[in-house]
Amino acid sequence: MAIDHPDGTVPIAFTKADIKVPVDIQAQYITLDINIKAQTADVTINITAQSVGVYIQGEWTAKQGQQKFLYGPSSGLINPGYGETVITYAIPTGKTLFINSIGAAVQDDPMTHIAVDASIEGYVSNEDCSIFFVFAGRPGCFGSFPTPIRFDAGDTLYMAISNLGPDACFFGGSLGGWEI
Amino acid sequence: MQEGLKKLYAGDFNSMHQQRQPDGSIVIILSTSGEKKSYKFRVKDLYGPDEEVLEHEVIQAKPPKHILDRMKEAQKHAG
Repeated sequence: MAIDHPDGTVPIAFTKADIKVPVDIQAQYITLDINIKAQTADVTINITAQSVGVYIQGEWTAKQGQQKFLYGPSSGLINPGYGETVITYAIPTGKTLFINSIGAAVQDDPMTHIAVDASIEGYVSNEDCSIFFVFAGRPGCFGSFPTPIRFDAGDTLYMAISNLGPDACFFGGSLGGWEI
Repeated sequence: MQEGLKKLYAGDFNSMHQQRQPDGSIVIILSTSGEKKSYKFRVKDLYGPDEEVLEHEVIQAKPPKHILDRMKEAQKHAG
């Protein structure tokens, strides 16, 4: 195959109903950026190397520096039955945000240091739908999930928390994931 | 547009801290892994038609000089 560029890169673009591409690359360093758009795709990979690292998406994006952590505390003491939006984020043009962890915590009143009897619920949403996550009691909890929640460019992410307990409390919410 | 707000709209950060203020404005702190500075700004009407940055500050996020000096000293002894 002819090499098109002096640096040895070979741009390839096929558009066809059925494509089979046998690939045999031998090099000291190989970077393959593959973008496949098809109704079905079968990819057979045979890698022979001294060391091979295969990362799941979350780990890979951490290496690429694409991680996102969002945190928002309440603006003050929140009374029972009330809530607040603690995180607002509009997904930038050309980006997609994937959230795969969510947490929320209750904080005692720092003035009195009395343990509050609190239970809170938190949820993340965009303009179209809400996804509920219920958190039980003080001090709160954190969870991660393998299938991320996707927010497309132009969506606005909201995280809101409500105080369902009998005592007023401070609270905070956090989200983790990646944006590519 | 202030640098912090540019970073927010470009998604050019790894962590974001938001806190709503009693006047309805929001204090936002953005930081990026490996970047030695953070952007702290207070904005009113975030994402709204009347959005306005009220305060803006760039925070140098490196350890204080006395800690850096101690690290150098420790490295000398370790070597």
